[in-house]
Amino acid sequence: MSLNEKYEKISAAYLQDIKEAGTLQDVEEVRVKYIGRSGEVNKIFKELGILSPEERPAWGKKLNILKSDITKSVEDKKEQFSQKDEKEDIFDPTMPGNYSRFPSIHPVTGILREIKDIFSSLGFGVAYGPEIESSYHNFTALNIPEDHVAREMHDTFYLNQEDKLLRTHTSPVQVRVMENNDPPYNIIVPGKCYRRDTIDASHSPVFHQVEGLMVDKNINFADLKGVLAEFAKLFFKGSDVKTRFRPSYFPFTEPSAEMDISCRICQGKGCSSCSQKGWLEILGAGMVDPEVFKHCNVDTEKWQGFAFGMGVERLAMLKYGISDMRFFYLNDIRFLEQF
Amino acid sequence: MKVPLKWLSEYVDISGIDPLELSDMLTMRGLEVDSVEEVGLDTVIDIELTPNRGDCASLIGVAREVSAILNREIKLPEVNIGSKKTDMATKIDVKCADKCPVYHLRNVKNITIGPSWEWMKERLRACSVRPLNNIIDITNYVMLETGQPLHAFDADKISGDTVIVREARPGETLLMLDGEERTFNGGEVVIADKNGPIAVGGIIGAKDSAVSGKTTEILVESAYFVPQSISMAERNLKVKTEASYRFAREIDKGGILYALNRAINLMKETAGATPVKGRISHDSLNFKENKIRVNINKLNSILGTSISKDNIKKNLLDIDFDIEFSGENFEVRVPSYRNDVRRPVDVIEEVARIYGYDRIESKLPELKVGIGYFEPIDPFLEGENSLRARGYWESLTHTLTDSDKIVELYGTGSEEKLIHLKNPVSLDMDILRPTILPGLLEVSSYNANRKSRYLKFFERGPVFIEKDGEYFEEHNIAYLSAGGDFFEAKNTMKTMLESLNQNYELEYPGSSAYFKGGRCGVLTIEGEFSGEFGIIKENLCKNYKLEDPYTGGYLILDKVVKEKIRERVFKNWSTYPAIYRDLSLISPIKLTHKDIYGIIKSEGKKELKNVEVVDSYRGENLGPGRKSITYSLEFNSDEEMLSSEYVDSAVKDILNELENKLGVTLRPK
Repeated sequence: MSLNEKYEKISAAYLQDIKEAGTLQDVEEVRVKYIGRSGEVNKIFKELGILSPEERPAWGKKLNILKSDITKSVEDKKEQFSQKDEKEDIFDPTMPGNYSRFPSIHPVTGILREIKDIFSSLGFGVAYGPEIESSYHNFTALNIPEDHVAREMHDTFYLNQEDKLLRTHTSPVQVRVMENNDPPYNIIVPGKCYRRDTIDASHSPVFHQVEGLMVDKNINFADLKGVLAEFAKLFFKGSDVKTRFRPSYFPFTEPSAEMDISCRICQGKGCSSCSQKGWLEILGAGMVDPEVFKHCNVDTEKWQGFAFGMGVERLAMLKYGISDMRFFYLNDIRFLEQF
Repeated sequence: MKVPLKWLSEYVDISGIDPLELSDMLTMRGLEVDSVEEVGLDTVIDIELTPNRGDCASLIGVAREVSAILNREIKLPEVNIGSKKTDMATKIDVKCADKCPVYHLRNVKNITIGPSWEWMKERLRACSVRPLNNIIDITNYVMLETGQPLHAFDADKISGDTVIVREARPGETLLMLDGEERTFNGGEVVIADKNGPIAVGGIIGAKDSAVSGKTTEILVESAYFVPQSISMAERNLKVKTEASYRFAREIDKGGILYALNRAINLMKETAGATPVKGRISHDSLNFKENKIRVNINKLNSILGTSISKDNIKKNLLDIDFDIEFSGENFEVRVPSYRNDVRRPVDVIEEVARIYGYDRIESKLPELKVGIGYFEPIDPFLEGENSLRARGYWESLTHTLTDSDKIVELYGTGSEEKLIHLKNPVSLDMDILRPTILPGLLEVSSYNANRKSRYLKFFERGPVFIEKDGEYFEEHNIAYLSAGGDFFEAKNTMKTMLESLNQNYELEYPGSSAYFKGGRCGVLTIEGEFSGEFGIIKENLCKNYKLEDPYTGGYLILDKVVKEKIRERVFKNWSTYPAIYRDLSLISPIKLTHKDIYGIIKSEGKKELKNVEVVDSYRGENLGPGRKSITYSLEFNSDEEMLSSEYVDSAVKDILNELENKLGVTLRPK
């Protein structure tokens, strides 16, 4: 065997021997076998005499490294045994220690934040408005005149003061923003809304909406589709989310549309979650009706744009698979800690 | 609107089209199909109509849409219009033509009341209308077919020879077909004879004048009641019917007579009925079809499309809108049943609807920067995070709450009043919350009952109060902890205020609305009341069936100085080592830390950098009425290394002042 072959053999063999060593005694034997006074490494040292003086220093260095590698391996292995031996001081790193969960935010808040993040990345600002509204802002200015069937769609809570009510949607904030600022507008409006519904699995007298408004010289229905489809993609985190727009009716938009997304459970084939339709409605939208602009003194010859509105609880239910709207307001810790 | 497909196929050929496919097509045209069901041998689709499409509250209306979608012809039942001259003896007197501009009556004699045809009964049932007798069934059938509600009066029950259409007088009453007697507010349209009302116009008939088994002669009414007037009457009388549903959405002003004659034709075929020649009518409407002028460029600019003239024409002709171009404009004539199309933008919607929303290519608008008048997305986020870091979970409770549980907190003398709902949906949600705390107590109670006892919750949101006759809405953040002590409440508030970088003062008044006397604190920001904290009053806890002590507080976020939240100014620190002196002081028990701290701070020179409480102690060995507090004082200077002697003399000055002003002395070693 040449020097090189011997060297390679030792390098491979000592690791195997250390691995197999089952007791402290075994480890000591391995140490003696390789780096003891007459161990394998020293044997090679003794043979270095046959090399030329030029080759010798390189080999010396190489063997010293091997020696220190073996020493380290032996010591590491010995330490494992000594830890096992000190019975009084067994440390259990799997114990929980002083742990408490970092409290979550409510899923409605979480969804609201996501919506705000997405729309602010699309250039929207955030505006807020009062929850106690005048019937002018909640209805009349939004082209929902008194004694019009559209007003019946909003079962409204009234307050004792004449003309005051709890807003039935976030749309009145659109009106307030347009009244107090000049176009262009590019805002979303998150907030609570109220309808006179009895609490059940899909109704709550208090719920959350996000309203949006984008108005400029040239904003059109194609932009409406683009922005809202982009929102759906970002919100449901997948480019495979399909959207479709259907004609609908809202008094404050014309043309009006509803946006559906492909059912994420059946991929559009039809299942019980989507009532066999393959699609789930997630928001209403449309081009701002000229009547609304007129009420807000916005010149319809110069400005046009779209508005939209979505129910936050509904989006949360779709995204997280929550089956019952009541969960949101019970605040059961077993519910909250899941978000 | 329920549509039995076999019935529908009488007006338009739907052979070869799967019901689900048909439903999808209708849905994409804005007639959203809610369900498709097998009923008997037929398939019934249920359309959820939007309020603008009253024209589709009829089989013929839906058939028109289907005919446009499939490009197949529509077939309407032939109707014999009858003679213009009449043999009728009845007169009509319309006194409120603004609310009822069109009113027709026809007269049918020699009727034998009995069941209607089986096929008719089956169709009515498929539409969830209960068959009653041949006459009533025909009026209902024609209403479902054409969308025009009809009403049949028993002619023998009408007193006098004149049918009057007038406004109800306040206080007038009528026993209606559904067996209920209702009182009119006044202003609702009623049909009356000389003795009083015999029907509510367009809504419901009277029990007395209704067709019964003994009826032999009838008057059949077909009219146009103005939608607003119908909605108002529905609201006043709290009654809604299939008829009022259609009138409130506006009927086809060009189809009023067609429906009437269609019904008379059907009656002629049954029950041996003999229609009296002609009709009597009031018509002050002079209805003309709407003409609307639209600019093609405006159309394409609103839709973001470039739809050609030909394409626009084809789409509109599909739904029977006549169209004529002149240059860049076109004028359409809107069919009488499309009351919802009144303005250019309505025509634009129709073009988009028929063209197909799906065919409009979506794009993203050019992004504009610079909307400076809105707030950062959430300026208060750090406050919320500070609560979470202390173990508080976010909850969300209803802003409507139960007045019974908190009304005692608002005495009759209080300036602040609760805001009551005029029409609450339930008694435990009858007011807008004046504070978030009761909601948090409820959440704690709910979880405590389920063995999750020692939890902490917070919530952000509005609270509401009435003051000097005005409503106020305030944005609050409130927190509540099960167990814990006064200092949990206090320090939670302090960390929150510090996370929001506020300059604040805490004071300790004797009493508070929500918190125990002597265990409450008040905070002010810029001198203004901005919140409270402490141990929740026991009786308030009891109202929520909670026994353990609860501590909490609330911060009025509207009072937080937003500009300060992110403001920071860097200050360098001394490079010299600090010198510390610990002082164990004995003080009269009634003195507060604040009293002692105040003297130390005011007497300490500018080198006194920091004062901290490190220990406090009460024990008999101190003597009666005494306590001990140990302070650690840190001295340092930015300019030089302080000497021990200098610090000792400063401490001596402080001690002298404490003894002179407060009787506080060093505790003997």
